[in-house]
Parts: sequence; structure tokens; C-alpha cells
Amino acid sequence: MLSRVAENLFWMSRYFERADNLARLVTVHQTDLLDATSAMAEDSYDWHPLLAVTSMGDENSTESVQDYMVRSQENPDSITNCIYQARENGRAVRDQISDEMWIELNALWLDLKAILKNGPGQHEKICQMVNRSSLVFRGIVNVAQPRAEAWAFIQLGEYLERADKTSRVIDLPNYLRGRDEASAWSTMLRACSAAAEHRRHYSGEADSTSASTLLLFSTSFPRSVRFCVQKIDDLLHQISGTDSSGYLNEAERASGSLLARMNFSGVEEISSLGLHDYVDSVQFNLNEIGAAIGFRYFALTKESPSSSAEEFFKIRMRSIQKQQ
Amino acid sequence: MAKLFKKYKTEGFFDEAVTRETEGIRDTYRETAKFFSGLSVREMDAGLRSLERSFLTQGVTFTVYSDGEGTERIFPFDPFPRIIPSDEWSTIEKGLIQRTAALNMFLKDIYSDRSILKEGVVPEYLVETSCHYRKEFTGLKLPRDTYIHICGTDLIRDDEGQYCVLEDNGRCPSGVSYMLENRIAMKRTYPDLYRKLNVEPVSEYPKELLKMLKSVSPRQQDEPVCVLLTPGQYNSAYFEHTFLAQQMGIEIVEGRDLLVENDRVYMHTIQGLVQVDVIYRRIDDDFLDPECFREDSQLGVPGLMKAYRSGNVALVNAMGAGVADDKATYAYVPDMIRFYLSEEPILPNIETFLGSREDDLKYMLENIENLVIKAVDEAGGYGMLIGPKATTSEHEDFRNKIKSNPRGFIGQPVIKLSRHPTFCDGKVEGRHIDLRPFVLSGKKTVVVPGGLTRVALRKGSLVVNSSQGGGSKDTWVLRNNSTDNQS
Repeated sequence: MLSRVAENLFWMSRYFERADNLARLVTVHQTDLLDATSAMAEDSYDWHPLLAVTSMGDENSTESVQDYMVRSQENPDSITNCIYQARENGRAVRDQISDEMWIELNALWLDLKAILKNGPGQHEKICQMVNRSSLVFRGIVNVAQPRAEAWAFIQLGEYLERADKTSRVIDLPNYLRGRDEASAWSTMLRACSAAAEHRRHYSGEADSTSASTLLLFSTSFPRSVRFCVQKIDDLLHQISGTDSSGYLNEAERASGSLLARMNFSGVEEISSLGLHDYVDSVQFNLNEIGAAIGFRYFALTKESPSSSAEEFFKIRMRSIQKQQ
Repeated sequence: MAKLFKKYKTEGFFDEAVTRETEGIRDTYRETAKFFSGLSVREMDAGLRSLERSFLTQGVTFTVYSDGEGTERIFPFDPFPRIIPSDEWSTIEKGLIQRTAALNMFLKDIYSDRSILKEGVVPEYLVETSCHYRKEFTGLKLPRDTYIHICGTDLIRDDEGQYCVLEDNGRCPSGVSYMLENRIAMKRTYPDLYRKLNVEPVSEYPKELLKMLKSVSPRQQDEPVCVLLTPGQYNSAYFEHTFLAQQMGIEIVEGRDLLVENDRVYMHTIQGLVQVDVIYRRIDDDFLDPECFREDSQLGVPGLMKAYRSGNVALVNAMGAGVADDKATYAYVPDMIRFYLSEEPILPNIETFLGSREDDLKYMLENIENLVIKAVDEAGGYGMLIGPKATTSEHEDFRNKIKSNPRGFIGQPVIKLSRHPTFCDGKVEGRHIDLRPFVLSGKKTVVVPGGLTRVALRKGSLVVNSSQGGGSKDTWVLRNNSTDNQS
């Protein structure tokens, strides 16, 4: 597979997942706002926590925050722009994806454009449309895409983005300071579609421990960070054909190392660093994995990739010695 | 019958479906006319809308850049199929094979022995001054001496119904994806009519194209690596590029996906570099290699020409094939057929006056208001003047252009292109059409039965190009005997 094609597939999927996560976050927050009373501190319910948690902050924008997140052309990560990017990446590899996938993506973009043209607002409608289309899209990938390289890069984009977004949304209660704790955690759970799963496992109200156990460390809940990192690690090994215990490149090394870190010392690190700093460091590792995937698979280089673990080990040793 | 046709008039034009003399429907079209007459206007509209929606969501579009931001449009489609009886088609097919053979022999000749130039059949200076002439490739040996592997020949029917060649497209002819997509849409929308008529399928085209690409591979191995080189997703024909690559199961690459090492071409894949044998390029010569031609080209591959010269990679179509596209060269194709094949041309040319010939030039300048004037190196309906429809100042403007560069212009009489029933706002009216069949020159020459019928949707317009308000129709070549069954 061409490097550029792998890159387009990865970003098509990643942008779609980003739009989907944002749409869910916006919808949940919107619902909360409907229940807000004037007695509640206004700023605790406004939209700025969402900007903070998604690192989208452009405080100087003239648009309303909601427009900025959903409709904006200026905000490169607005839902609209994410769908546009997903579609453009998909268009560049039109020949590599199934017709059904392309039609879903293209029809979503055309419908979205029509809605934007129709008039202001309509954030709920846009979010619902994106969430629904995202499920259809993932369903098509699941039933129509052969489990080969193209599929692996589509999945990689999805899981890397989802791990990142979940790890950020976990931090949301940190920004909802005026709210009582249980309600803030419940908002967070709903934004990750995890409220029902939480109720099944924990009888009481949500708190930092129960929510983060579910969304960081669950091995069965598909939006937990641990679950996503496991998938990323599996996919990377599938692409290179390496045994899951070893690694052939920097991306596999980084994913394996994050997985081990979460498995073996997650609880201890949270108690020593605090949740906020812990998820921050997890995001840092996820970025490392993303950069390593880019370097290994997307960058145009004349060097041939390592064909054995020993070879990769030697290359690393040499580069470390050079740095010292 | 034929409520839809009640007011249909040939208005003195040669019409594909209706005879001029009796205004009666031709046998070939009887079944189809009956079928469409049986549909209500609402049914017709619903069918059209569903066809258009399906083209749009599937992304069967081309991009128009007139408004700053590129707009994706569907190529307007008319559901009334153009029907060609099998005996007519077999003449067309023979004519196209003959013509393409002569063009390839001509190109081989001008890049090697130059015998046709030495004997004065084609003037030497005409070739040397063609902007697509690539002297530096003289003497380069090409697989099976083929320059034009894919030819899109534009055919028209004149006032007598005679098929004539209007233009040869030997560089990167486009439109074949619409031929294939139109057929899919028609089969889905009107299956009963299609079945009844016994139409030759066109679906073999991608398979034949791939076979041809593999046949020119310089490396003799079982599975040559063929790629389609596109300028990228913002090119107006990008849909076609992805469509063909997907149908053939080959990679679609951009210049940045390729690199040249040791005079070999490689593509970047996730498992490292893979050598490429055949490039079906949809980029013009000038943009292929920034080391040789346009330095500012971001589309090409530095060093590609070195690899090509070394014979390590094949280009389809070959470098320098554009000489055959030159509209002045066109005038000499009948002579080429006589010179190389000792045959008479099966498909005639349109009478053509060349600015480069003194008498013709004089005639062109004196009769400009009755002629179509075309720039020799333009395409897509640009750079032309339709004399009878132009203003006096436009005539003067073109006279000056011709005088300052006689070699750069040709003149042709205005041909009344044949007309064809076409749906226009709930009515059926006659509109002018042409036909672009596609000729593949591989181990043997293949013409897929059919082609892209383009239709000038604007009333009275003779320009069928998509950039100028043209649309398309499906082209149905009937199987042998099918006409007998109908009558």
C-alpha cells in the first residue's frame, strides 16, 4: 500500500472519529444547559470548559462558542471542518474504500453543507446527524472492509483519536468547578456513552475513582483508553507482521510501552500524580505513538524498514549512542 | 402513439431517431420511443432526479473552477440513449482501427526515419513547429512502437448522416468513466428497455485497459507493476482517475508518491520502495518531470525522463504523442493512411483549411464569417470561433490572430452536427451530438462498442464540451440481428 494512501485512510478515519466525539460532547453539554437554573453559577455551565478540554481555545473568536465548535470554518477542528477533512481524505483514496463507505461520507458532507446554507444554529441536528452517520460508517467498515492493511490504518486512526478524546473528556469535571461532583462526573460519562455501563458496574453515584476506572482501565468497554491502546498495539503488530511480544519500529515500542504502563502502574501513578497530570502524560504518550506511525509509515524515505527485531534494536542503540 | 414526440421536429437537420423526409421514427429507435412515450412527465422527472442524485452521492463529478472555489458538478446526463445499429458500428470500428494504426506509424516514423517528411507527404516544418513535438526522444525504441495506446477519437455525423472524424485525442483523452457509469445508471433505471434492445456491453473496458498496460511493461515478469499517475484530487477529471484505478485494481499515485533511483521509478509504500513498470499518466508531457520541462511543476517526478529514456519504465501514452493532436496534423491523417497502409480512409475527415498553406490562409481570411476557426493546440471547446454566430469585431480579432500566427489556426466549414431526441424541461427536443469512442492499442487493437455521446444541451448550440454546457448520453451499440428482431 502507498504511504500516502495509508496516511489518507488514517486521517479520514481519525477526523470522522474526532467529529463524532465532539458531537457527543456538544449534545451532552447542551442537554445539561437545559436543566441549568439561574441559581447556578453561570460560568460553570457555559461553553468554555469544552474549549479547554478539547484544546480548541480561541477566546478571541467572534462566533459563539457553540458555533465555533460545530459550524465554524475558521476553527480547524470544528465538527464541520472535521467532516470536510474526513471527506477530502476519503476522496483522495476513493479507489481504496468501498463504495458504501464513500457514499456515506460524501452524503454526510453534502447534507451538512445544505444545513449550513439553510440558516443559523441547528447544532443539535448537525450533531445527531454526525453521530448517526459515524455509526453507519463504522458499521460499513466492519462488514465490508477486508481485514488487510487498509482496514488496519482505518482502525488505527479511529482508536488513536478515541483514546485521546476519552482521556481529555475524563478531565472535564476538573473544568466544571461550580457543579456538584456527581453531576459533573455524570456529564463526563454521558459524553463517552458510558453512563449505562457505569450503572451496571457501580451502584452509587459516579465519582472520580469509579468513572476513571471505567474509562481509563476497562478491558471490555470500547471507549476506555486501555481498550483503545490494546487495539492500537494489536493493529500495529498486524501491519508489520511482528509477534505481539516484540517490536519492529518506534510506533510499536511506544504503544507497547504505554500499554504496559497502564496495565502495571496506572493506579499508583494516578494517586501520586493526580488524575489531571496522569491523563496529560497519557496524552503525551498517545502523541508519541501518532508521531511514530507518521514517521514509520507516512514519511517518504528511501531507507527500507527493519525486517527483524534485532535489526531495529541495533538501529536504536546506534542512534542513542550518537546522541550521547 | 408518441405523445412525447407529437411536436418533435427535425427542423431540417439530420436526426438520429427521426427521418427528415417523413418525420417518422427510424426502426432502430422505435422500441425506445415507444417506451419513453409510455412514461408520464412525472415518472420521467423522478427517474432523472434519482439518476442525478446517484451520480452526485457517488461523486461522479467533475470540478468547475470558474467561481474561485472549485464546485463539484455532475456531468449533466440525458437518459434518452443514442442507438447505433451493428452494421454502422462495424464500419466505425474498422475506421478507428485503421486511423489509430496510421497515427502510431506516423509517430514512430517522425521520431525515427522521418520517411513521410522526406517524401513531402507531410510538411517537415509542420511537425517541427508542433508544440507537442519532442525532438529529444528521436530514436527512442518503444514497446511495439506504440505511441498512442489510448485514443479518444471524436466523431460527428454530418448533414447526410456520414460519420466523420472531427478530432484525434492522443494525449490523455478523458470521458471513458462516464461511458461506464452512464451504462450502470441506465441499466439500473431502465432494465426492461435495455434487455429488449440487446445491447453490446461496455464493461470490459477496464479489463482491456489493464491488459494493454501490462503488455507494454519493459520488465518481463508475470505481474508488472502498473500505476495511474494523477495530478491529484483537485484535477477536474479526478473522479475518472480513481474510478479507472479502482476498476483495474492498480494504485493511483501522485508525483510525490514516486521517486527515481538509478534510472528506475519506485513508489513509496508502507513496506518500503516498490519498482514501477508502467505509468498510465493523466498528466501532460510538460508537467511530468521538473528536471526536463517545467521547473515549477509540483505534479511530476524529478528524473522520470531519465528512467523513461533508459527503457526502465513505460509511459502511456508515450512522450511526444501530442503531435497527433495538433489540429494541423489532423488534416494530413487521410494521407498518412494512404502512405503507410495503402488504403483509403474508412472514416473521412472534415474539409480543413490550414493557415500554414497560402491558398487556405487567403480563403480563411476572406470567408471567416462562414467558417469555424480553431487554434491548433487548444481543446475543450476553447480558442475557437464559430463564424456565423460571432460578431464583426470577433471576426476582426480572429483575423488578426490568424495573420500573426497562420500556423496556429485551422478553418473548417460549419458542420450541422446530427441531432438526437433529448429531454428538455418535460419535452423531447432535438439537440446536437457527437461521439467519442475509445481505442486501445495493445497486442491487438480493441474498440469497446459504444463510447461517450456528448450532447449540446443549449438549444441550437453546436458545442458539446462539458465545460461549455454539454451533457452526455449512454451509447447503445446493438448486437447483430437485433434490428431484424424489432421490425
